[in-house]
Amino acid sequence: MTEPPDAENAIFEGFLANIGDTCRDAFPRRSTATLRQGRGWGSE
Amino acid sequence: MTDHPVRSSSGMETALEQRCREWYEAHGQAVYGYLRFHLASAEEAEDLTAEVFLRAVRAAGRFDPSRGAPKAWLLRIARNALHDYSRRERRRRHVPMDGLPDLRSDAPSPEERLLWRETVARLLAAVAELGAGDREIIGLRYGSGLDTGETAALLGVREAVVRTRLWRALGRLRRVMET
Repeated sequence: MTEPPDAENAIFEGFLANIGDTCRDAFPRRSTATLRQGRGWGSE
Repeated sequence: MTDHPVRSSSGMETALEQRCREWYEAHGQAVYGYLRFHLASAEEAEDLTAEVFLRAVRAAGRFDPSRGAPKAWLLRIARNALHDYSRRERRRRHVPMDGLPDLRSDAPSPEERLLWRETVARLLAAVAELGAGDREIIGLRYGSGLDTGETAALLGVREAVVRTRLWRALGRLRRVMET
């Protein structure tokens, strides 16, 4: 039996949420000292 | 807001810098994830995330908590920064399909980890094929991890509108991925 589109979207939504988690987990947290030096953090 | 220097683990910083550092630690991931869903490479997303927080430091004195949470305010800055960046770059978005080395995976085998990276690359490439409105709502909801209520508040629409737009965008994204 073919799943209705809404059910397929719901499954797809879970997949997308998982990918979003993966992308956020890859966030390379720089020290704010590095940001300050490299990009002028707090220079204005 | 008064901006007195205060002692921190990284030396002297102003109260505004300290506040922005706390925001960076709490919401840097959400900003980065939103940008990552729009940009071709991790490096671009990383650089633009740094720019967002630089802008936030400069504007922090104007932040008004009665008008919304810091996360929403930062994502508004991210949307503007992305808009400016896209105008500057004017080059076609392209997500390389040779894997995304920035992505970590808990998959047990190297083959499965490679497969997952390729899956994420395919998905991000498909998002890049969508129209601006679809990319925006998918980036906010799944890239930054906002719920539909937060997304609605940020876009200034009702939550039901977000649900409908999201559902349609998901359908279009699925179709792009199937082609």
